[in-house]
Amino acid sequence: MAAQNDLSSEMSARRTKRKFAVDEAGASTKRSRLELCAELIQSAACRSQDRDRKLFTAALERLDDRSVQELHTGADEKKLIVKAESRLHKLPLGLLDQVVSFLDFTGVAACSALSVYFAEILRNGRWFRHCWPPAGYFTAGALNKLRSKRIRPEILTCTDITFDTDQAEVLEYVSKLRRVQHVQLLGTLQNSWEHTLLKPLFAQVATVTFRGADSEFVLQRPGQSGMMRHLPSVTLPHDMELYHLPDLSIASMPQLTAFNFSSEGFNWTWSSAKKLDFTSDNSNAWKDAGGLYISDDDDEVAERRDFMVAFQSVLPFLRNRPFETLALHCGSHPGTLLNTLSLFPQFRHLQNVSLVTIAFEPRFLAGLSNLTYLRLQECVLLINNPWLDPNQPLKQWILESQQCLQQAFSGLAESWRKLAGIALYDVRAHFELDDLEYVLNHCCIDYPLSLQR
Amino acid sequence: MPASTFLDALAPFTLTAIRIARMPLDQWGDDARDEKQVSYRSLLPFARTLRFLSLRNINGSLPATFSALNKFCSLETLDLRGSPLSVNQLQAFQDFEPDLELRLLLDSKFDKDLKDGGKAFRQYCVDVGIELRQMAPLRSKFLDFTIWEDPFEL
Repeated sequence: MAAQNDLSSEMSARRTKRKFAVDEAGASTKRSRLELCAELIQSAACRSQDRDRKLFTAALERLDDRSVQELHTGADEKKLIVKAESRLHKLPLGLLDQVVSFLDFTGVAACSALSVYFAEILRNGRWFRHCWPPAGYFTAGALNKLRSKRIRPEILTCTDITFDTDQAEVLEYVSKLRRVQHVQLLGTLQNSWEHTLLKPLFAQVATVTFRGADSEFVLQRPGQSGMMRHLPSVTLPHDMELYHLPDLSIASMPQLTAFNFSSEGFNWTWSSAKKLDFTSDNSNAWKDAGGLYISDDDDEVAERRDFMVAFQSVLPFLRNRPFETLALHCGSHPGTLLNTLSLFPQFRHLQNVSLVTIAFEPRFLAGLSNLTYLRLQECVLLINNPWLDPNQPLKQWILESQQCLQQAFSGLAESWRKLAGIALYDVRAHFELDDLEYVLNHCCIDYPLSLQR
Repeated sequence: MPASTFLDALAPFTLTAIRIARMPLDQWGDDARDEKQVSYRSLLPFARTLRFLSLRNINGSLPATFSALNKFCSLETLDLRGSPLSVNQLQAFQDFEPDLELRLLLDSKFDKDLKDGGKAFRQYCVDVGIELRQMAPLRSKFLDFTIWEDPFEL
């Protein structure tokens, strides 16, 4: 064990040394292609099975400093040739296969350029299962390559995949993948056949990102990320039907820890609960706390859309997903709450609520019996008090306003018995029903008739 | 609108953390700029339980004296970054002797107007068990308040 630790430390030092050496040379892309040795070391450090560990340790012992140095010097000089007597060639095929599983396509391609031996392995399609398609982006063209190599989906090792739903052959292929943890979905699901087909795939995933309402999506590659454009299959989030998204219920996706819906301006994320650090200065503290996080940042879209309708349209997709944190963050265009949150069954157990740039009547927060932390930023509390006379002296007006507001909050105190923390950032209040109507009109909200006068 | 309007209504609660920013503490309009008129009155209902108090970028002034803070027997963190503190206020602050070890967060240039460069204030902090943390002015996204204009202006 001690020898293994020493070896691990030594290899770690080598890895660090090489990293800096290559970084200083400004050849980061070459380094990423030729991380074979580094990944070998990494795999040795993280493998837990005894047999694998012994195998890796034995292989590492065969790789001396000189062979590692030769690889990287050769890469820097663009004349890398692994000679037939290279230690790498003597690694067992099974071990080499596991080493390659850590590389992306460019890395594997670089390996094939190392020697005829590696090129032959790649040509046989043996390593394709680890690296194809590039960045996990499954298209009809990518499938052609896999089929030409006769590679069955069951043996592919990719964990992050991206695909659109417009081609049945792609859906059929990805539905048989066995190691997928993260899915980027580029289109809506259209029928029960697609739901049934993809059920095994979604049953194993940890995160899903839906980009079907966005004209851009991201393909992650080691050391870089590429923004790609495509035609969104839906334009407005609240136009979506329930069957357009995968079934997010606990039964259908038992491993799911996060779902992200991304469109231009309107985004929502559900993620599994974490502890909220209310005293943190980190601006992402609420986002990191898990639960349901909805943000609306696009002026043009917001003006065409009722925030409340969009907000409510999210809830059915969550099925029976529990959440204790709700964050509604509007951008430069204010949103408005028009209903009591506790009327929604999913909100009854809320512990943390953050409202940013939202106009609402305080009574809409009544009934949240588990509310522990409340954050209001740039919110406007709409106080219904048609008897308040704006023409009276300022001091009297202030006094009456205060009483009015305190009455509104005192009513809430009955239900917020667990409240432990409050954040008030530039919170304002607005009185009188006439003004309320004015606010609602200017927020372009279709408010219910009961509020109209 | 001053934060006290909300805090008064929340007096029945046993709050452990309060964060206030870009609002007057307890006075309206011009009165909020007069440190003699401003007080910690609205925070006193939470004096026994409050462990975290943040008064960042307060509109107007903080109170002239801080002896009221001696009643906050559970206070562990006091964040005053971004809120203006005069020389007199910094001197008056030294009437405050926290019961527990307190973490005090101030702007990095809080001592620029002090004759001794804040040496006495730092010594006071050491003597009463305050961990003084000087931090650069906040550039938090939270404080980018640029949204509200009319018609919300009262």
